[in-house]
Amino acid sequence: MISAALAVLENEEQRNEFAEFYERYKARFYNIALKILDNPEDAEDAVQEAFLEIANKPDTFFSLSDKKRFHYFCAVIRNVAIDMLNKNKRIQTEELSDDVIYRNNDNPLENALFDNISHNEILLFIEHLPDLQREVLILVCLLELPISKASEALRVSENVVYQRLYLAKKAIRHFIDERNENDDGKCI
Amino acid sequence: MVLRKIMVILFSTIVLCTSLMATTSAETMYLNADEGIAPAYEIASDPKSIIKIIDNCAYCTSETRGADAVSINVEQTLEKYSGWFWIWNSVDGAHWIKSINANTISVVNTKNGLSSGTYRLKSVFTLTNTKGKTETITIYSSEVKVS
Amino acid sequence: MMTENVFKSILEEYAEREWAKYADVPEHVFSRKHNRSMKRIFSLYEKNTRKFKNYYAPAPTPTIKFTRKNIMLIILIAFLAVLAGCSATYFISQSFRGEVYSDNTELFFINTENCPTTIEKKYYLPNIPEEYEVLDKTSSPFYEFISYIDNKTGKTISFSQYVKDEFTSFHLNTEKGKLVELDKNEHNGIFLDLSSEVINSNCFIWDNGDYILEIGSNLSKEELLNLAKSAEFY
Repeated sequence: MISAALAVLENEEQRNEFAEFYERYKARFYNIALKILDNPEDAEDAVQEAFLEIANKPDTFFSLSDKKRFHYFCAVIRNVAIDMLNKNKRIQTEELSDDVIYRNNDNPLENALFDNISHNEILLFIEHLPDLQREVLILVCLLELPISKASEALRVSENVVYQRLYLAKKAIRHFIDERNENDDGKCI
Repeated sequence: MVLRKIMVILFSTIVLCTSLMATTSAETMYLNADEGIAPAYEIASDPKSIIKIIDNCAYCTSETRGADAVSINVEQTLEKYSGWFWIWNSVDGAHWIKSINANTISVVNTKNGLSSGTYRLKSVFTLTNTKGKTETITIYSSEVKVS
Repeated sequence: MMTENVFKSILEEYAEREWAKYADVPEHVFSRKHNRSMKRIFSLYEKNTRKFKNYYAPAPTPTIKFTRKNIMLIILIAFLAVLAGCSATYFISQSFRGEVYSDNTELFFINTENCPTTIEKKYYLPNIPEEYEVLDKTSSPFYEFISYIDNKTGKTISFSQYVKDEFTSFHLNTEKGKLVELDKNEHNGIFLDLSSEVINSNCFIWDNGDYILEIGSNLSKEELLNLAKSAEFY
């Protein structure tokens, strides 16, 4: 009786912030899942699964700002949907071996590299990166999540995260080097 | 929010207390001398259940009158608190019964060698009036602690 | 000149453009099953983030907004509190404290200091009518009882003596009986009348300073009080 009365008395300021986040973006999350799974029921389940994952381990989500939460969740829902698709299609993903090169090559993209490249050029290049590498860039570089948290969100091992990050940065570096060589008039 | 929760808990407690204060009128009635709740009596006027403990010896007194009672039966049981929730256990060798064919009765019994704990006296009065109607009342004395 | 922060902003711009593609699509109506599951998930989130909220957020200052809802709630609580309080009324006389309920009055003894803790003086009624014989006697260090019976009529008189203490209480049937406070000699007493058309039934309880004395009888009120006046000790 008391708990019922308490529930009635809850005002708007105390409303579950998680529920509000869901209400605000549920349509978009559903559509992200639907694009991958191509099945409305599965897409609903994917949304549910993603929120449940966050609810069970909320520390990362809780520590992010509002805007970052959205990006974070998009990565989560996308990977939940891909997992479901893989399960449905019975596709097995292989675990990569622990190659030292991926973990040690932690050099940031030096500021000087970007001197001769325009904003739009980088944006365009990033859009053409493989999805998996883009996702890791967003989680690690934009949201500044530790590798462990990124691996949780992407449902892959830390090795895979390191590898994807390495490959993404390598690709960007390669692109920048090529652009710089071209500007210098050298052969591509 | 905290203030609201306190108000709601207070509200619920008051509603619960007021509902518990409602009287009943069953044939078998229960009364604790520590509580102020007693149902209506049809025959009995002022039943009493009194316990006194001195030097680990309990003196158990039960008394009642009935306006038009022709016989009264009293069953006394000395009880000890088990320590668990509301459970009271009967004390061995501390159960007595007395009957009288009159409208007044008094019983005093003793029990020696009590161990430490909390005790109370349960008195069950069964009164029969001139019309043959029977009424049973159970009364508990105050609780007494033996250290 | 581009810095790493700018690189971040590019990433952010990309992300926003990427997810914006999913914004302008027909809204989906989620199933009831999904909605039910989501409610459970929200509760789970709340439960699991309670510890974080205690750490990150300062304790909110309790404030009360005087909205219509809150004012009505306060009035209701106040009303119920008064109602609960009114269920038991109280009286205090010279010698007793009573809690009056709808069907009974619980009588407590007051002025229990400096009173004997055992029966040191036994009281008796010297003026019992001749037709009455002793019916029963019981006693303990704290209690004396004697009852008399008129074998022809079945009427009885009982006389009890109690040691005064704050824990003993009497429950008087005041649903059917009438409770009256009387003064006997210099002492204050309670008279309970449960008489019917058919039979007298009453009792008188009084504090003589050291003990509580009670007479219960099938006598008339006048006879009973006369008996009480005559109480002496051995």
